[in-house]
Amino acid sequence: MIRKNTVLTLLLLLGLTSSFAQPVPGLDENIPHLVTFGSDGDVAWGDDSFCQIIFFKIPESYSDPIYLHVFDPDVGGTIDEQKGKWDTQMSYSVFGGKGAWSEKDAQNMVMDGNYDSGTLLASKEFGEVSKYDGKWYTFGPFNPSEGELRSEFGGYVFKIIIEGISGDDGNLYNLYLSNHADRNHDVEGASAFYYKYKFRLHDDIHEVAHIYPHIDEKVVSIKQTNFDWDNDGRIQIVSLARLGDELMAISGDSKWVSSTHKIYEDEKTNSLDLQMIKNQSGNIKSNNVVIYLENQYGEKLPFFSIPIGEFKYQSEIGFEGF
Amino acid sequence: MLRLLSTILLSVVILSGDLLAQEVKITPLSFNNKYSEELFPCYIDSSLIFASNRRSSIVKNYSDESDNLLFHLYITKLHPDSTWSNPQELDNTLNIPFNNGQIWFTRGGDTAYVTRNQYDTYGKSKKSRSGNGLGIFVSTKNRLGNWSIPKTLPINSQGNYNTGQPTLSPDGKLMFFVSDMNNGYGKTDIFYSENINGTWSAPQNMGSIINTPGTEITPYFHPSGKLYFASDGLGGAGGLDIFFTLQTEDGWTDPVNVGEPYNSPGNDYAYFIASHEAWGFFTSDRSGVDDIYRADPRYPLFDNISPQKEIKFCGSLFDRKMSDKNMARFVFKWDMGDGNVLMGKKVDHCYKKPGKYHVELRVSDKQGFIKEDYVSFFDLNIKRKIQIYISSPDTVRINSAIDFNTARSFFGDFVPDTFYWNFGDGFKTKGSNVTYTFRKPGVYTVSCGAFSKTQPDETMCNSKKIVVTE
Repeated sequence: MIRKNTVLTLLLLLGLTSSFAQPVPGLDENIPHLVTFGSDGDVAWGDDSFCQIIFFKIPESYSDPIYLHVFDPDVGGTIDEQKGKWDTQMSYSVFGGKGAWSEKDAQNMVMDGNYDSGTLLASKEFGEVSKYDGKWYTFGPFNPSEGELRSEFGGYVFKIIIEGISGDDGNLYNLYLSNHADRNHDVEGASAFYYKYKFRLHDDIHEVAHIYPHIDEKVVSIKQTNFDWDNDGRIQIVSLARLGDELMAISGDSKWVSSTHKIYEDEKTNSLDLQMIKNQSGNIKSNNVVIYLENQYGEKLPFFSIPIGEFKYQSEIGFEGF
Repeated sequence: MLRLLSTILLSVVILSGDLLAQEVKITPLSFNNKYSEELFPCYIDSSLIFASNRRSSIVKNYSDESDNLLFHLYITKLHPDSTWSNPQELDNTLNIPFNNGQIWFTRGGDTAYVTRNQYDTYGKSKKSRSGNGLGIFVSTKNRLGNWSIPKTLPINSQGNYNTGQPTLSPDGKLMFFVSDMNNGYGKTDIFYSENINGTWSAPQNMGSIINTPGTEITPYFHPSGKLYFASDGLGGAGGLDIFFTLQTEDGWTDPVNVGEPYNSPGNDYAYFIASHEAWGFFTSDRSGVDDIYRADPRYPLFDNISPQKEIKFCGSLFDRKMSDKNMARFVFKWDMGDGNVLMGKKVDHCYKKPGKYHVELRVSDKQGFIKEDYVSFFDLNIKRKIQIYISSPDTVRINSAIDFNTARSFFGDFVPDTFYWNFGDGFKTKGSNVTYTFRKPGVYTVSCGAFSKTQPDETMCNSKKIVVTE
């Protein structure tokens, strides 16, 4: 029931949100790259499961072919993180059809479960391929109806799984949902969302990264969990009800940490802006991190590449005469 | 039953009783008709609903077998100038062609309990072997403001006795009513019934403290806990007199006669009194025919007298969302809109005069983790406090004539009628500008109150302390 309410709320809000850009990480997130390590990597390097799952939602009314572009899909060259020699194989798999999103193991990234649910639409492995170093690779075309039709989302849902097959290098990459095969062009009304996010923080201490978890009306508290933050700065909560005064716990090197936070009424059906600010006197580079949020029932909350609803602080000035 | 009650009203027994003498202005209402009777006033939403056997049509009127016109319910609206509109007969949902008597509305006015003959057609009435007695019916108002078809209550009897004149406690759990059922003390008694899970319990007689071998009618339950009623078995000025009894933990108190001029040598009954008890309506035949009168104490007592506040325009400004949070790393800067700038999470400020001020709040993060200042705006409308402001010296000497006035009051939407002054030493007077001379030293609480011209249920009253020295 909670899940149903959540998605219904999302549906309503998605209808109100003008979503024209589908890069992942999103423009508002200001995150340089997603990251996935080879399966022989050390979790201490910032990837706890060597896998990333990203969902895309396409409006039901959209009928043109869509493409999924991957920037720097190979593992080698200038962007990726080398551990010893380049020896990593990375798998990209696009899923649609029944179960692609609705399978709970996919949402919860249960790696020994049925996370790769749905119908496999396309798959490709990359190693060190200089042709794609710093370049885009295109999956597709896909017919939107190949996704999983979910009435609560008002459209079709696709899933891409990026998984380290072998090796120990870190793969840094970006995604873009497009309606053109050879360039990035937005699919109107589409959006990306994810339940567990693995990415690279900026090296520049002045850059602030953001993620925007959506808070549905049933959420009364959230528990955030992050991994391998290297104590690099802070995560502060900004929302309709908070001006950054409340901080979330951040983890140390190769450590997990959690903190629980109350949700205010104003925040329901809107988003939080979790601002990730680096240590202003530190010099931590190439910091790969993992973060996810759960509601009071232990259900993971989705982050959206384009924030849903309001997330900027709005004061409520009071006057008491005397 | 109404004819029966009219007969009962003539059966007067004079007994001794306590009287509450007071100065009250009694005024017959303008719509009373010397050729008909006007009874059972019920005031709601600036309108008075009453029963009358007046001729409602030059073509068609209802009468009984003796050609006596029957009673129907009428409504008249109180205009802002204190005049009454021409009474109009209520629609035929709440009125039946036969007799209709006292009506009672629950709080909010969405449920009506009405007294009426139990059969609403001539055919049904004729078929009944036991006549067409009175009963209490209930009707509710729907979203569109239309009344439902009234339903009979289980406390009614279609053959053995009459019931009528309902009044309910504010929570709707208790109903008091009149009946001539057999187990009573006199001709008619007051009974009560409890609403238990939506069902009215079997009637219970109020007992011999209230009911007498004579006649008790027209109960009215006031929110204060007083039950007003009329009796000709408890003594008083004559005929039916109006009494009240108070509900206490030990039961109902001995009835108190409300005194003259409410009560007269004639029959006085059906007292409907406003929640603040400052005015009311009742029925009396003191002029020879049953008419409705308005009662206004010359110096009403006001509830909720507030000490007056000094006229100043001060207050605290704050962000409610931040009030319980640790905002130590932030700097709060308030531009108050009158040229003043204040710093702090919560600031106190006094404006020089009322008006609209555009306030800006700028919040800066001292540590720079929020890079841009947060700026918000607030339109503050500083108004004078709504109150009767008593302008006078605070300290005066005995035997000195002191002027008091209300010129600096601010009423908002309240339109005051007459100002009533109480000087705390027993002296009372009226007017917006008055003069008074204290004769003894002491500290006196002087109050000034008024009723609203447009909303007669609304009052305003404020007070100030005056120190009187030798």
